[in-house]
Amino acid sequence: MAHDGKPVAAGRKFDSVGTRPLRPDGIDKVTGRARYGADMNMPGQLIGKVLRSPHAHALIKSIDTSAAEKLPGVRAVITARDLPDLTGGDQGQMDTLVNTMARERTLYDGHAVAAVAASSASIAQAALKLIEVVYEVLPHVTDVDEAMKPDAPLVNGGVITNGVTPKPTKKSNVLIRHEFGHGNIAKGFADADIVVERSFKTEATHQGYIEPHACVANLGADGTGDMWVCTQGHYNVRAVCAAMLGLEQSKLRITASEIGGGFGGKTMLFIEPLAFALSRKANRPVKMVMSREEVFRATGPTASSSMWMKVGAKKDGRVTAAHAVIKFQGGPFGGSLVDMGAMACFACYDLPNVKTEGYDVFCNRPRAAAYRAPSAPIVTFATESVMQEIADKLGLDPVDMRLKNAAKEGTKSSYGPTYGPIGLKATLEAVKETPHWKTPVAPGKHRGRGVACGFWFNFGGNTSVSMAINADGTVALAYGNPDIGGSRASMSLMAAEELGIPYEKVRCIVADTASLGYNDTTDGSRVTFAAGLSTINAARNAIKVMCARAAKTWGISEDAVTWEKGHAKPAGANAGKFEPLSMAQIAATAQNTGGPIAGHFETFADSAGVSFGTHIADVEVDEETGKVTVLRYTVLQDAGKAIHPSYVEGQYQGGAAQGIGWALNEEYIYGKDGRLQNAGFLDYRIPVASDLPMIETVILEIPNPGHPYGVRGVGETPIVPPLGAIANAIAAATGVRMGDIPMSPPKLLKALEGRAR
Amino acid sequence: MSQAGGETEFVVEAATIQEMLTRLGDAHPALRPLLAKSVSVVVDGQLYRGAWQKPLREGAEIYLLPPMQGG
Amino acid sequence: MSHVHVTTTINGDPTEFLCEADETLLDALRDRLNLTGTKEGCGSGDCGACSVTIDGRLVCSCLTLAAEAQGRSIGTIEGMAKGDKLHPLQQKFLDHAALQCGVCTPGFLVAADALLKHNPDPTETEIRYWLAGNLCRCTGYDKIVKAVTEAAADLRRA
Repeated sequence: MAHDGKPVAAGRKFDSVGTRPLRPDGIDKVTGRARYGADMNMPGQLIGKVLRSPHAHALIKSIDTSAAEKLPGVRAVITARDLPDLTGGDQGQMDTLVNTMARERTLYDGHAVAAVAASSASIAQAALKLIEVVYEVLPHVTDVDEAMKPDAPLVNGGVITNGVTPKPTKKSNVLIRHEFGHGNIAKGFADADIVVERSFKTEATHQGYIEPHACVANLGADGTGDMWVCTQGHYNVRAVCAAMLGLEQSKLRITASEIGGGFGGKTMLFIEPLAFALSRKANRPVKMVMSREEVFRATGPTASSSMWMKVGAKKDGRVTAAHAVIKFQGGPFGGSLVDMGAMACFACYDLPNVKTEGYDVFCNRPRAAAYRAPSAPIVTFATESVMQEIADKLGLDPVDMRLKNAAKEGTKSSYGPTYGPIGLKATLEAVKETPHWKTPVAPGKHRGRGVACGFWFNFGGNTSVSMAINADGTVALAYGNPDIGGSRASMSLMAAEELGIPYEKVRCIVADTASLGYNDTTDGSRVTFAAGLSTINAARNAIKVMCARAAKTWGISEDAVTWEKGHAKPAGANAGKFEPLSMAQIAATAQNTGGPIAGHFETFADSAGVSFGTHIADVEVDEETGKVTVLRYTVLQDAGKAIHPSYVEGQYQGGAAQGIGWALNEEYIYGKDGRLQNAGFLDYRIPVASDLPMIETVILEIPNPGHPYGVRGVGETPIVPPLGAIANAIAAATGVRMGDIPMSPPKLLKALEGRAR
Repeated sequence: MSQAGGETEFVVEAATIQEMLTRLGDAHPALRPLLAKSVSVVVDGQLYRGAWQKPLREGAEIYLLPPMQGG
Repeated sequence: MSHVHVTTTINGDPTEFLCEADETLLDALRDRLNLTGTKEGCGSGDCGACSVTIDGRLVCSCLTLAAEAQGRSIGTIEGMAKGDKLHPLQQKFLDHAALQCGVCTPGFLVAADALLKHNPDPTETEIRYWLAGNLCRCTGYDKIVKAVTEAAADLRRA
């Protein structure tokens, strides 16, 4: 049922939805007028800079800021002393406080230790050099397997592991163990004709947004403040800063700038509380912009992992049992999202017997943040590799084998819930219809094709939307989610559709925290779904009001008025002979019929639909250098209903490109000293234009009953299949099965040489 | 799971999600802090995070999942 | 440190500013002249978001000293449109949805403009290799390449 209780009409014809108009922020972005996080300046502002620990793990014996404070031009210096513990014992808040600025210990290379606000960037940098910190270096560990060994150095003092019986007596680096599944895997494996068992290891990656974190903060002594910030969630910025600094939320007004990429990495806060703290101390606005090196060292990459997986199947390809043990490290506080990994791992398949175990492990690395379908690319790499290996050993077509095991409506998922209508089978069947699949791999040595499936849960959440009908009948739509991928255009399309007016009559903005009720962060592929259904419902409320005004104008009852294509009309001949009234006409007399006209809608949106995808990758492997070239790539994914098809395609292509980079080249490289070796775009190599072919896309539409137009979030799923698809293509091309991500040239060469022997 | 002494399946009498969470917490007090944090509740296959008043039918199948986030 | 006085031309406009001797052209454009269309993505010449032209030559302004602008002609994204008439590249980027977050877009447009002045009929491969110095994390480059190809065709017809 859709949010209003009416089922989504199958095959509904839309007027605006599904078209490809230009986005409202487009001209600003192609002319350089658009203002991002670092493009704002406030009068009298100071520049803030952060001093960061050069050690992987250390005690802070002392910090002397006196010389820095005396430097002419320096107006404030802060350390943990300026951030008192207001967490009230909440561990999550304490982790955030410590991550924002180290207290007794520094926990990773790049951990913030102190911060300075000065009249220029060069003076602030000079002041950092004058801060004297005395460290006592502690043993460190940066590898997840090393961290689980019994003699591993304890990160941040270690912890007694939760979720294990009997309860351990000794502290370790394992925060918690999770378990999901159903059935009887021992019996399942006993029933299998073939069993494949593999180990995998993946290194951490970074979201790699091109815009570094940036904000300008202004906080007065009375606790009233505002901030301009590039963020995926300005309401969350308000909440976290208020809690950390002991401020009232209503006194903080956060404005979201245009954002130059987020992908989950800008859902967490790093410099924002520091900017407010510096501003409060200096009584001046403070602007803080991270350098690229700081972004790599001290924001939130993904977890790195170590995994083991065992899958059993019958000769005909039907899987009888699946078991996975997944270990993630996500920095020094836990929260590596291994539980999401354990849930996502086998989510594509209909399995009678399944068990996934997840371990959340501490390491001396930056605290992990979400990255586009967090955890799913990692675990899906393992699953799709093993599924393919089974298909290969049984001589089965890769698509048919997956179809045989694919989850469908009514399947009990591996993480518990039973699926409603879903699109996995549709994407697999559609593979066979693509020009890509129908064209054999281009002839040549060491070329191969791989296929992989992927999934993401998608979320709904807190949403507040407001819609005003202007006196000229145009629409001012305000929602509260920073626009990363074109959502202003999508909201405008849905408003135009519901109201029955042209898209150009709707103007959509992202409002600040003072202007709307709470909005959850732009993440979880939730905006087109949740803000979309809220926009539609706000429009319905506005329509109700406009019909009531028309009824008043005509002197008839409200139930006798209906709405069609932007006009209020008498519902039938009995209602009376009245000319339809346009929105402009109704709005023009609004002050006489009851006042300004607006619709609004607030909700906690549930019933987001999951989104499944299947990818096809053709690769060529250079056996002399280990370099992999992607020859052809196709993304098939269920969007429920594509509101703006160009932006849906954009998500498919962008997510695939990130997944390809993750598969082939991106990784965090730590030295023996526990320091990050490649904190820049030269050596943290993301895909460039010459690395990729055109990325073909197929949008399927199996409507989500939980949204009035059938929308499913699409933003995250595209990054999930590429690691498996590329690994399977490499296996097809060379016979080598890679278990190590990234499958970079040195590693591939080694594996190829090993095969030759 | 370990907080409930190793049990993984429970039977609870409740008319709404909120009642179910309260009764479960009463029966197994060690679970209360976990239930108080935003736990995701899956009822008959549908994921809910904000619907305490949602009525539960007789024999509803319920899963409690950790709080989930996207990127 | 005493400041350097620079006299230059930016997007055809005579311009003067003061800057520190070690200040980059990128910082001078953004912080001295309020031309914030050019972006800093890395500060080390690896991402191309700071792309500008100096006497028609494509450079990373984060690797150029502001003082080097003395007596030269600088071209930035702000100079691409003529009044309210968008450059064909800008229009094609919009038509093809060749931008998502848009932060890399100024750099791509400046770089693509330089390409088409140098080679008005580039192949897909030539486009990809010329633009390999501009990082985009959102689009996967597909729609960017299509936009540049079509803009090139339009410009050849004009």
